[in-house]
Amino acid sequence: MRRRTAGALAAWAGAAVLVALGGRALTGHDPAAVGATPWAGPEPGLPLGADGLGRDVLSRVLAGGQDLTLTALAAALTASALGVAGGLWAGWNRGRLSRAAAATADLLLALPLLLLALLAVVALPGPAAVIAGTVLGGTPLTLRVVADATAGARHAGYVEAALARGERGASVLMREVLPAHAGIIGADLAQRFVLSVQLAVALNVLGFGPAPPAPDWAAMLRENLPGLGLNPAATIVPALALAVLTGSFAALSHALTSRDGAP
Amino acid sequence: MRSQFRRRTAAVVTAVAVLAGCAGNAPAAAPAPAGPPAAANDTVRYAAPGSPSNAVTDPHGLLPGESDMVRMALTYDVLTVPGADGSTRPRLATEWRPDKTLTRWRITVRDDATFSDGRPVRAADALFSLRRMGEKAAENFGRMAMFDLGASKVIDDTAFELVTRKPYAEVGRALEGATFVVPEGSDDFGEPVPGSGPFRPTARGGAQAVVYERNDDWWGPAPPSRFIEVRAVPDPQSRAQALLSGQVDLAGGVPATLAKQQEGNSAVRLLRRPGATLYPLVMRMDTEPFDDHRVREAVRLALDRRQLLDTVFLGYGEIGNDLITPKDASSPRDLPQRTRDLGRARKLMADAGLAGGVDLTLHTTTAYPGMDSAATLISQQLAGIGIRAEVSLEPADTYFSEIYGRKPFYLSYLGGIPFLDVVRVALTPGSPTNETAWKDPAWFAGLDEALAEADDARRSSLLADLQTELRDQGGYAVWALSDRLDLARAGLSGVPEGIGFASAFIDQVSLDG
Amino acid sequence: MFQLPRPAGVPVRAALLLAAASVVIFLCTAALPGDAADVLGGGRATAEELARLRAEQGLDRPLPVRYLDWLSGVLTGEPGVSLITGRPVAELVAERAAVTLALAVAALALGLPLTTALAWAAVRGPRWARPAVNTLIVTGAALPQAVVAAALVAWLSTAWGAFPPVSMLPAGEPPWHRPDLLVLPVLTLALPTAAYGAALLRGAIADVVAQPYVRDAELRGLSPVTVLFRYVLPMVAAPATRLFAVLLGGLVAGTAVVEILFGLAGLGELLVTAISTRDVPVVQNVALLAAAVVVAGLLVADAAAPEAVRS
Repeated sequence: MRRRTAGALAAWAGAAVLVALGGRALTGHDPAAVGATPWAGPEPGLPLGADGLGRDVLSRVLAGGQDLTLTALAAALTASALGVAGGLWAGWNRGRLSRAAAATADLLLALPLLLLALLAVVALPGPAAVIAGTVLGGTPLTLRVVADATAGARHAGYVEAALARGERGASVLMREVLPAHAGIIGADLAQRFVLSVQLAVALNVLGFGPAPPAPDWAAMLRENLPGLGLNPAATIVPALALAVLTGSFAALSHALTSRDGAP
Repeated sequence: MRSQFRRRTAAVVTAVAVLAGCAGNAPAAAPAPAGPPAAANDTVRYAAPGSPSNAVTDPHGLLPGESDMVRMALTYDVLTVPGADGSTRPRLATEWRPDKTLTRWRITVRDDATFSDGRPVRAADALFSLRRMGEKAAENFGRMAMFDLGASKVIDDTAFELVTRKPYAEVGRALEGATFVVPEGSDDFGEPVPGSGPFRPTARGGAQAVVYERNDDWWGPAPPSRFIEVRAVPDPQSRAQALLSGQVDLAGGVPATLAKQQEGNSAVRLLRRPGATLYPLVMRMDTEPFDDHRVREAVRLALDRRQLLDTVFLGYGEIGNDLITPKDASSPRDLPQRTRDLGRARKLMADAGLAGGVDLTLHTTTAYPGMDSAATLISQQLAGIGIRAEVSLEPADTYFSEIYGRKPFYLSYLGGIPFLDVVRVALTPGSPTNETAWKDPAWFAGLDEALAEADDARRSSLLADLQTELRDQGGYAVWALSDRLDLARAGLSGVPEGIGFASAFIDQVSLDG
Repeated sequence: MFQLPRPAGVPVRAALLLAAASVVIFLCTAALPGDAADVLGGGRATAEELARLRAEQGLDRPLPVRYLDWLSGVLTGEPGVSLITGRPVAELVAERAAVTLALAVAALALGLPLTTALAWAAVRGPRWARPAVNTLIVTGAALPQAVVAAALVAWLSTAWGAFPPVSMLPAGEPPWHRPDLLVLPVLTLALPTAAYGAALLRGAIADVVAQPYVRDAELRGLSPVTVLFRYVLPMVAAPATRLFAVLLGGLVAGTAVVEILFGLAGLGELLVTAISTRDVPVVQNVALLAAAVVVAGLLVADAAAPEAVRS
């Protein structure tokens, strides 16, 4: 039952990503083309109206998820991969070095994430800053989760058995421990994705957006708020798009973790 | 404001705070600005562009935001001010008179002004303040560069002699606006020093806003309001929303989109100051392809100025005629309007050997509203003559250190400043800020000649000729001028007209007008 | 969950963490491209003028000297002077602390009960409502703040006209004198925070209600509220404390966006602006203050609650 929910949500989240990535192909117009009266409301041929420059909002919404989603995917995968590797290693060897890793993680958690991201965005191009921020803010969380799970598994029956068979630690980690925690790791990955989208949107609000005229949901949110009273769709639709994207991944993450535990 | 330079740095702040612009328009039945409780009706609340994080207390260094200019203009007296018609008006200085060589000027200051600590304002205080500005040249864009302040000297309590480096007929103008007079010897500017201006800072306030109380001993016309509250708000949208929700009485610099929505709302009044801002397109004349005069002219002919004005400024403004300071009193008035002529532009491109087009990068930023969309539209328009301009959006907070004066093709910013200020900062050979690489020696000889001309009418005509030549030969394309848009609650009066420094002197605002 | 070496005790670990944080913050600020002299010179100053400005500001000294200078300043209560405004950083921070504090406290005051209510409803609410509550929690926690703010402004301000979309706090008065101006900022902070908190607390509550004595109490016919307050909440106090620290950290980061969205001059706005103007002393001290708040929260939680609530 849970498994089915998770499967359905995974499909849904995947669909959200595909739409975000592939929407550009569906656009009828060039999303940068100026063709209508600024802030025109919905009308035939212009289903969502126009933005402040007179550009077709529908085209911009369809095309506006691509870069954001790609950046967030890259950020989530990077942060998660680093966190999983670090967590497996730290959880397996609870020695001095792993404590140093944990201390580093604690330190990163103590620094305001937004500060790190802001420093990053000034020094790096936008997408790289999102990746850096997600790694700095998200990897420690992943590391803790995976390290705790690994440490818990260290003395579990199936691990002891594998070790008793003479398998090496690294191979036990990869063949036994990692698959056993695929759910947790998948859920964690989804959370990192949500985090990186949130981070990208926050950086945008603070003024570090993608270059115009490139369409981008977060940028649209900012650009079109002044016209909320004139063409609400120009703000509300990209807001909904962001909400669906983050919401579906959050729900997926939830479904993956609550298989063991919740009622 | 005239302090384009200040505003530009304020842009740093705007840019960051930027965009925040959370908000919609007010509900259709816009609540009449509710206003403060009746007792507070002698307080005018002004939301000015600027950042509360940058609120400075030193009047002679960088004034990062317009709010800083306004606070200084309330607290301190300046020597002269620009009038609404562009002429120079006396303020603390009552007279400025040159000798025959136009290099030694006798400046007379009022004898009835006193600082808030009771001391009278003397000529020595004024000269001290100018010298301090001279020392802080790096932070005020060399505003005192034309003066030899070391050779200048105090004559008596009400007069000092100001020496210029070259014959300089425009000394009154050079003393406009930012020449805030502080007591001689002031050296700790961590807190405001005593001023002699129309208002005095009170202890009320903090990071959110500063409250000023009327100085009843001021020599000038008595300000009608007892209190003025100045609040620095970086985001234009937020300033407008603050007014519409009745939290302030005057909002400076609001976005055109919002102004458009408020047309017909009788609870608010839209104040327009023509020609306050322009985003000139910079073409660096020592870099290909702009080293060819024909290419610069082709670009100027390829621009659809009307479309740019309507899109970028929503029509609040006027189309540009490539004059860099069209509102300066000396600007030529009778030139034909330059219009789009793609045929001629294409021919010029072909003559320049660029019939096959050329690839360029056009830099822009989000520091000021519409700069990004302007670049996008310009790039599309230039496609008509084969210029493939890729728009590159740069971070606002490093735009003026990394792009300004360094790249060959970008959108710059000018905030209604006088011609001679533009010359000093942006048209001086060898200066890192000579953004178009303008260096025609004959032109500069003509400038010296104009400044040494004592007759006002003749000088003005010489300056007009210089501006015409710059328009036709130089590296600027000025496609439109935008109005400065302020929103005021109905009934507010006394907001200064005029652009630049003129707009900072708000001591006569009143809620009962 | 594992931690720093423990022998030294909580205060020393706090000091170590903060010292490490100060190094990271210092290095980050030193790595920013450009400096305050560039900003003051506005791109129009000559090289010599810039060099003079840098010397005045001490920006030409080696990094370790600047770091030790800052650190000793922090320890002696004189953390530095803003490079842009020339005002003491301590004064700037003091002026703004009230706004940020008011936001954070109000958001917590609203967020914590909401967190509890949501978590309880997700575990023990009417059976038919639980999936909806769970969905609300999960998706609510995932919403970017700007999306929440846009939705609140569209609904409560543009459509309904109930609250202003920006908040100009009165000059010289504490922010809580105008609670109406704090509604939208606090909701923007509190709603996602509550959802996030509920997502974390939900599991702990589920564990407790599965205990026999809770079932027993329910079977004895005690009202759900009594069960919640008498049997469940005391048992989740430990994880809840840790949760509190996590939420506090989130708020510290989150106020910057909210302050800028609604035009409030708080610490977050100060930090963001100072980063853009390279006002390094301000950046360093505000960031360190934020780190200190988070560290204090984490350590209090660690001391109070050895076992962890998983995020």
